[in-house]
Formats: sequence, C-alpha cells, structure tokens
Amino acid sequence: MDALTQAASSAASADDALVRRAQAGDTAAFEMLVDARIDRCYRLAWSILSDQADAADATQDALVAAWRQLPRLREPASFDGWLNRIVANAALTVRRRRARIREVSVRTYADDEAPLPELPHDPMARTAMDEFVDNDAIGRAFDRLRPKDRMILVLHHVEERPVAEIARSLGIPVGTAKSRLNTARTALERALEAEG
Amino acid sequence: MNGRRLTDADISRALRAHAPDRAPSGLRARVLETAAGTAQQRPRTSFLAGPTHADPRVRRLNLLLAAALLLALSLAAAAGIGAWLKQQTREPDRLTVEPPADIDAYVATAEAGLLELPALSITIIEDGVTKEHYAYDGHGTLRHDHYPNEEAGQPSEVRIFSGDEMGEQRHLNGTAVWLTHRGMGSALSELAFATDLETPCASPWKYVGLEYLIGRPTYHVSCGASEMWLDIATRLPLRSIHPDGRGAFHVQDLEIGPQPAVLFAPPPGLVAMTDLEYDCAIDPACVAPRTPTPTGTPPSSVTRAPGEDGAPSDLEAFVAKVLATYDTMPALEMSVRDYVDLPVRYVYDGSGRLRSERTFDPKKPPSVSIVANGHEFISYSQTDDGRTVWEDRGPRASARVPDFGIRERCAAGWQHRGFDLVMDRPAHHLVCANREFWVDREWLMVVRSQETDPLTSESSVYEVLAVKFVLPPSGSFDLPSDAVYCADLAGSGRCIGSSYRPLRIASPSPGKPD
Repeated sequence: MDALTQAASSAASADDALVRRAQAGDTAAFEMLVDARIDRCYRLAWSILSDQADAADATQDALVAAWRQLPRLREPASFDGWLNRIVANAALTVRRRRARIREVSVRTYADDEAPLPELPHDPMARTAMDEFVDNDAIGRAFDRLRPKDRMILVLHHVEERPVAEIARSLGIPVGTAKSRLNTARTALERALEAEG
Repeated sequence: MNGRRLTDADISRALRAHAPDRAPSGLRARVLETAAGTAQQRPRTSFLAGPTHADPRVRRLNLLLAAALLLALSLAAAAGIGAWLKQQTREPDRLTVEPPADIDAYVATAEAGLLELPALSITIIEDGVTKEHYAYDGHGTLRHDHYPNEEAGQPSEVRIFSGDEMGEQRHLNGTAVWLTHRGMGSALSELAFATDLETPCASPWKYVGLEYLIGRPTYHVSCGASEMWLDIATRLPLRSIHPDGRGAFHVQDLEIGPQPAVLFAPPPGLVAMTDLEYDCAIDPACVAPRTPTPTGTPPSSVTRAPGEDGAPSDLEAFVAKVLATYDTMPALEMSVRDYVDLPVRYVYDGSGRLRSERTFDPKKPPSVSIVANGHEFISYSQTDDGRTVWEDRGPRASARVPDFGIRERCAAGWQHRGFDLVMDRPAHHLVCANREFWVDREWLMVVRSQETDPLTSESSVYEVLAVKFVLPPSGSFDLPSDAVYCADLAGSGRCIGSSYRPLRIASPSPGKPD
C-alpha cells in the first residue's frame, strides 16, 4: 500500500470512528463531522436553490435531520452519500415551500472579494482575464440550468464525488446518474451558447 | 467560448469559481446549537443490523454471508481482470494502409458520424468491472442494459432512449415500475458519451497506427496521454484509455445488424409512471399532485376561441397527424419567441433546408444556423476582432420546422382543453401532464408550447408570433462567400494567431472543408 492510499484509508477509518461516536450521541464527534462538511453541504443546497439564504436554511435543516437520524445509518462508510441525499431532499423541500414567493437574488461582490484580474500585456496569450471571462460565462449559463442538472454538476465537478456515490446519494441507478451528468453537461453547453 | 466543447477542467474550474466557497458565518453555530437540543432517533433491533448485532449467532451468520459475498466478488473481479489482461497482451496485427489525411478532423467529426450509425449491438466493459450492453435500432432508439459485473446473467438496470425521452425500470415498494423522464438527451448522445466519443482534447489527435480489436480494424489515435481505438466501419471507439483515472473501457463485442423490436419496448407488465409521480411516491414531503395536472396560466396572447368545437376523438392519432404534417410542410418564414424570450426567425424551403436566426444581442448580428447540403453550419459573432466565424457542425441530412417537442405518446394520456386563439387563429389546446401544446386548427402545426415545472410553477413557453407561407429569399441557405471558420478559437473569443480558414457549404462530406 503506498503512502497516499494509506493516508486516504486512515482518514476514512477516522471518519468511520467519528460517525460511530456520533451515532452513539457524542456531540463533539458530530461537531467534527459537521466542520469537515458544512461548506460542501451548503454548496449542494445552493446548487438546487440558487439562493444563499435558502441554502443556509436547507443546510441547517439537513444537518439537524442528519443528527437526529444518524443512529439509523447502518454503514458509517456511506455517511457522505447518505448526507448528500438528506441535503438534496431538504433543499428540494425548501424549494417547494418557497416556490410561490421566489425572489431572484443578484450576487454582488464586496470590494475585496473576487478582484478582477489584471489586463494582459501580451494580447495573444491566454490570460487570467480570459479565464475570468470564461468562468463568468459558464457560471451564468449554470444559473439557467434546472436544479437537478445544477446539483449533479456541483456534486461531480465541485465536490469531485464519483458517479457511483452520486447515484447512491440521489437514490438513482448508476447508469441514470451517468445519463443525468451527460444531460446536465449538454444543457450547460447549450445554455452557454445562448449566453452570447 | 461559444461553440467549444467544454472539458471537465473547464467546468470544474468555472463552477468552483462560481459556487460559494463556504457556508455563511453563524450557520455552523446554529446547526450545532439546534442539534444539541434535538434527540436522536434510535433504531429498533433488526436481523439485518450487520456484524455488530448483539446476538452472536446472527453476527456469525452475517459475517458468513459477507464473507461469501466478498469471495464471489473477488472471483468475479479476478475473472474480469484476467479477461482484460488477456486482451491487453494481444499483439494487434499491423497493416500498411494509409490513415485518414486529417486524423484530427476525422476524430472531431466521428460523433456527427453517429447519425449514420446502422442498427447494432455493442457490449462494453467499463473499468474492467461493469458490463454495458447497448442495442441500437438504427433509427434513434437505444436500449441500455447495465450489468454489475461481466459474469452477471441479468441486467441490474434497463434504460430505453428515444427522442428526448428516457424510460427506465425502477422498483417502488417491491413493485417493478417503468419510469419515463423527458429532456434526458438522446440515444446517440448517450452512445457517444458511453463510448467516450465526446472526449475533448486540447491538442490535435494524432494517428498511432492501424490495429485490430475484437477482429475489427481500428485507427489507434492519441491525444496527450489519452488514447482511443476507432472502429473504421462505424467510427465508434472500441477502446479508450484516460490517464487521469476516468473510466477506461473496451468493447467486448460488436455486432452490426437488425435488433429485435421487443428490445425497444418497455418490459411487459410494468406499471408506467412519470418521474414526478415516482418522486412523490417515495417522498412523503412531496406537495405536488400525485397525478400531475398543468398549472400554467395561459398568458394574455391566448384567449378562448368563440364558437369552436369538434375535438378529435382519438387524440393520439390526431397528434400523429400533426407530426406527419411536418414531413410535408411547405416553404415558410416563421418568427418565434423562445423560452428565454429570445426572438428566433426560421426560414424553411419545404424540402429539408432550414435557416434559423437567433438574436441574443440586438446590437450584434444574429447567430445563424443553416442546415443545407447535408451539413449544419452555425455562425458566431464572438471574435474579439469583430469577425463572424462559422462552424461546420458535421453531417445533417435535413431539418424540419421545429415542432416544440410534441410527441404522439403521452404516458399520462392526452386531454383536449378546447380551442384558444393564437395569432388570432383558432388552435386546439392539448395537454399532456405538465406540457401543453396549441395546434393551429387549419395548418395542423404547433404554434405554442408551454411546460410548467410542477415544483415551482415556473413555465417555459415557446410561441409562434407570425407565419408566412412564402418561398425563401434567395441565398437563405448559402454561406456568405467570405465565410471563415477559426481553426483555433480561444474561450474568450480570440482567434489565436488569426487562424481563419475559408469555409464552404458545397461539400457534403464530413469534416471542415477548406
């Protein structure tokens, strides 16, 4: 076993131990599990809701539900997939609840956040500005996708979850997860074309 | 950026920049505070509680079952790896034939070449573990059987792709159901994805050699550390390797020929459900109606047509008749407002040539698509030096006037909701679950469609604003004489090294003519 595999394996074992302790009611262990995952839970909820306040509510609902139901989890090793599913369900519930009072939020940047890259000196070189423009266009196209397309793209491309785990998280067959990923990707490309 | 296939790296980089980095401050404290005041739900003892069960006999039994399963999996994996290694060590025959003149263009147009794909069946081994069997009917319908391992006799998942609809088998409370989803890509897109044909490559593909796999001649090509073996007859990859750990695969079996029709119908005896019905059945929090009904409110452009009656008695047959109308549609010009309020103008010549113009920005020329001479061409006005570039999207035999997605089959059953006025003309108002269509009574063409998201009640509307049955203006299907494509278009719209090349519409052969 190489050093990297060994490190990954021992991290997984440590997580399993934390899950078992949290299942037994150890709030300190749950706190450590939350610390390592709250950001990605929040991003997943955001991918479905497109709204930061709603995403925060859904994340809170999901993590508290996870704490409550944790003793029922049979396999500590499947904790992450199980948690993703709870977050997705919580976000969809919030979405349904707020469907009729939908607000469109405009993301604004503070002066010290996401500063624009410097303009290029060499006009032929691909620069940080090019990358910024690309990222911005993809981001806007992403906002126009359906929630289930956004969710699977975030799980795969931001959280780097393998397709099999995504399938488990969403309660769908592996082949369907692959198809959805493909569909979401195609939708993103189409939305990007429409961005103009 | 437009027109360029996105790589995984593009998407990951952009989404990481777009998604929020972290949860808002204070959320963690709120979660932990609420959790601390919430009691956990303890499970009842179960036989299936696993190896930690308190009863030592149950624990032993569970451990024995787990050991047996592990042994079976190990044997299956060993057999799979053995078969794979056997294939790897086979020295392919080398032939002395010439490769395609432009191998990069050959690979780039292979996906478009799938449009010509004959009926066939193909078996793929992915990552040396799972077995994927695809049957294609040669006319746009694909069946996919997923097996958990190479030795499995029965598929664990079955899917059928047709049009933009995917049907799949699921289980609901122990009952097998057949679930249909819309907007799930297409059969050929699925096949291209499954065989890695969509793999984008930053640098040109290079020819490695002519090699035989499963007895079939292939072009072995490489791009960086990625490699593919493209079957010469079908242009489908028979093997693919990616160094970044994404699933490698190889084709175990490929048979060209008609496939039994029964493969393309849902397995008999299954209960048909829409994905919304299924979601609601498994989610007690679902607030959507169990039988979806359209919730869209017709906008002011649609009003009830006075004194109209005469709903068709067989609505499926009526929709089939509407679809058949598109096969013999005369020449026309049509203006449409699409679902994001973009104006689109269509020009159709009555025999398969179609021009569409989409106006994204009123200050810029429209983006034009032309289907003519067996190809599809699209223009972009995105280069930073102001030039319009064209792209050959590959072979496309012909196009039809858009029917806005109306299809004969409707799992929920078609309903006729009377007659409304669209463009001041009476139109049948047809409803299929959460999709609504308005069909012009005289022309038998769809003049409006509306799809309502049952979760949000948001509607997507396509609406025809005007139709004129006239011959197309001359030159509608010609590329401008000075049309160019950019051989190296950067994401930002820069044509690197001003690498513009002339593009002509005359060639019906695949590839980028110059």
